[in-house]
Amino acid sequence: MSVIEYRRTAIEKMFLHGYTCNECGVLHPFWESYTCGACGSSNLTKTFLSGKAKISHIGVAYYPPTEFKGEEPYLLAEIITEEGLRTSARMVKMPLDTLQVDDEIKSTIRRVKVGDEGEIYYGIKFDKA
Amino acid sequence: MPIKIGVLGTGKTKHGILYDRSLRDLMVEAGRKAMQDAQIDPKDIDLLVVGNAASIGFNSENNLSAMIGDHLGLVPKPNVRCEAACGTGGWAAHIATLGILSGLYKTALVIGGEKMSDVTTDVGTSIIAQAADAKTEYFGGHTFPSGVAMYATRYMSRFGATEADLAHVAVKNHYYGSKNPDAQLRFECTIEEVLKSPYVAKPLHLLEVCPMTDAASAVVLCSEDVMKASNRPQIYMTGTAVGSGTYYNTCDQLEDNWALVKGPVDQAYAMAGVKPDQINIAEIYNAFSIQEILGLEAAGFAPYGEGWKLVAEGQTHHDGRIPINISGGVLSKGHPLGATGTSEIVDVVQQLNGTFAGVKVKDPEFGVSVNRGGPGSVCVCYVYQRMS
Amino acid sequence: MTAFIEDYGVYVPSGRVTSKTVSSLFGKGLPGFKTVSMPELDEDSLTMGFEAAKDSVAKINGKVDAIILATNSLPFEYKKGSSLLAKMLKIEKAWCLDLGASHLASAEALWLAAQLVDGGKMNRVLVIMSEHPMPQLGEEMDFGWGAGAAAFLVSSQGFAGLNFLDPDYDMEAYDVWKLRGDNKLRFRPETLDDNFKQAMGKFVNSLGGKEALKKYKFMAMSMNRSRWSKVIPGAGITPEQIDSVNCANYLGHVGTATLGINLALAFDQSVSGDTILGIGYAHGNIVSMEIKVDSAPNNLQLADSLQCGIEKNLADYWQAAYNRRLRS
Repeated sequence: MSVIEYRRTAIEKMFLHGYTCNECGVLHPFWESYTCGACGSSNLTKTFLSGKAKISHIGVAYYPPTEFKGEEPYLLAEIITEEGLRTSARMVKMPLDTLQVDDEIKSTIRRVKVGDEGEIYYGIKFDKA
Repeated sequence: MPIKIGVLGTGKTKHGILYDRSLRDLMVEAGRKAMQDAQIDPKDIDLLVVGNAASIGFNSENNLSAMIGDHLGLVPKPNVRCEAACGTGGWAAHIATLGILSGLYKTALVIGGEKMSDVTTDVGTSIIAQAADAKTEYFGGHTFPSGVAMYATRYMSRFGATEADLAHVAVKNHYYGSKNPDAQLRFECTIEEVLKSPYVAKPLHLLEVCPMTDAASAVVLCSEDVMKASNRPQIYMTGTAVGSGTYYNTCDQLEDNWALVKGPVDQAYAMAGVKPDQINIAEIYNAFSIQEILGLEAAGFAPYGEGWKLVAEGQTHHDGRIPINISGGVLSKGHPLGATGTSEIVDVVQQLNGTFAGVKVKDPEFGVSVNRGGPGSVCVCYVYQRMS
Repeated sequence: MTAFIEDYGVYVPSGRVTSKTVSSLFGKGLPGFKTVSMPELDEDSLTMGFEAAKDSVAKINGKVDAIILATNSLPFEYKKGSSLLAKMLKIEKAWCLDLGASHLASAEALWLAAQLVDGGKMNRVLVIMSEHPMPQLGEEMDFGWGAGAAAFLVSSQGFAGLNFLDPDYDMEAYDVWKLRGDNKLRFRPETLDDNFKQAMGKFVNSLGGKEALKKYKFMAMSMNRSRWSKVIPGAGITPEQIDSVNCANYLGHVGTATLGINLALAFDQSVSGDTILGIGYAHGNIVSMEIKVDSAPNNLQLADSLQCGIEKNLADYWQAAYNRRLRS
């Protein structure tokens, strides 16, 4: 990661968003921003989400990547947003047994990591609702 | 026996330092443009080949063909990523060519892309140096420019060329680059200005060395029957060959550089059934000016050791005997590692179908592209023909 | 009065470190505090400021004309914090100001906000006070740093009016300071305590003496050092005025945010007609304000939530305080 990439991407990482296809109306997760998987259109618009979601799958990481060393163990989840999108989620620090499947959560902003050039990325983490 | 791989469509992004474009932005743009030019729907692409040399280093991302396949709506068709240092783009197209010739695929989208400006120059230089022997030869601080400079020095010593003689290549390329709206460096320069520019690695001056660049370029290739059934200009790859050379700079002497290109380009000519004097447009890899000279000699346009004279006499200009690098070459377009090979293909094809945005060569029928890579480790050649 | 507090919020991390834990590391515990608040590794002054302000800002759809961030612990020594915080809060087209240099910054930020709102130059100014402790080894024993943030919406209408008294910047003294290029925070406990005593004495006299303090329901102060509580009775401040608005006892020295959290505690307990005296203090200087409560604000029930917390063990404290990633 670099400060050049930071300028492009850092702010949008702080807000839960998806992309709505302007042709067929389907809402896609944030990584499907170029082409609508439903109708093939390239006409998509960024759509901010409420930040409320439910836990679908939950797990704990014990062997993290380099930039997260020292934070383990930490909670990760697959969640379903209030708008029906499936996406991945990192929880704020909490006791590992705090959340179960189907629990309600909501998004907030925390430090996520520090990039290779010392640029601090703030991003979405989830807390108990 | 000529092969007949149709080039249905081409597409490319601008070359430059494009801070606000990500790697996937660039590759999606080029891929979309190529498919639109080919008038082909994504669902009719049978194979995606992505050429990218170093996204793990430059962009902290990997598994690119899957990423681009997803973004272009090509899932569930097969996709694969290819890496061959600077020869990546050429090899990516070669893989697609093999797939079509095998009969397994009728159409293929080939996208070469690189996004180098996310990291600082010294980090980029380290990443590029890993395309040579990073563990021993390059361990002590060798760089690519210093390796190339060594065979430039030997060329000058053996054939009596001077720095001023070599500088004609840079002057010519920068002239055509200034006329190419998609090139990164768009200025003209004189011999004196080339010689006054600082040394990057003696005897190569700054203006004789390519910059790092962000860009992507793409082609849609197809089988002969698909091409004939389309209403597109009938441009084919009629010959192709790939050769390998040394991974080690110490072994990459002057003669090896000549041999690296000579082998595959002769094979490609033989396959296409053409001779060098039939070629009307050539794109020859020239990340360093000496490589254009050696490349054009090996491609049969000048005797070994006299290539620089051809350039100095204006014979490689757009109205010369053999137009070479009328796009401005890698020197002006910049060298987006994985996209250089595909950009050569795009530029030759656009000259053949009259759509090139810079200076146009008059009515070309046959073309050749030479994409070399690494410290002299790979060379991919194509011969093209515009048919009625 | 032309400037009012329209809304407020507080965020304090749930972690608490006891004096016993600190003592097990250094042989000496916290300086008179029961506990200090401890942030997690992924928190800093910007994330805590965001948490303190987000609900208030969401209620007004981000319609703020300026944001003033008062902090001495930005994640950066050289980079703006307030504009990044504005982006986190989805505040657009607002002036973004960073105030620092001392713990007076929070009171000064409130003053500045009041000036901007006065006369209708601006409709609304968001003031955020936030501190994230980044101690050098052993500073806990002398300062007991804690983490937390408070946020205030200052506008032309609200539940409490702001009236600033004349500031006192007369004293020029070194009591706690840090030179650029030095890692170590320097301090002299003698001047640290004596400056406060002198400044408070002068301040109370300027109001008209101890009798003049009786009209204030609460005295919310930058009460960052427990030894200063010895000065309080002599200054004429009663336990009823200060005990329930003194967060340092359980949160520690929260820098600029101490005043904000104490003000919030006071608002929580106020009813219409109460007057609160807010005193920002640092280096023997005082910036003070009278806050007249017109209507009872929403009760955030802060006292209970701030005093309770999750006790952190030594390993977690060491990691958070010194950002040493232990399990690497």
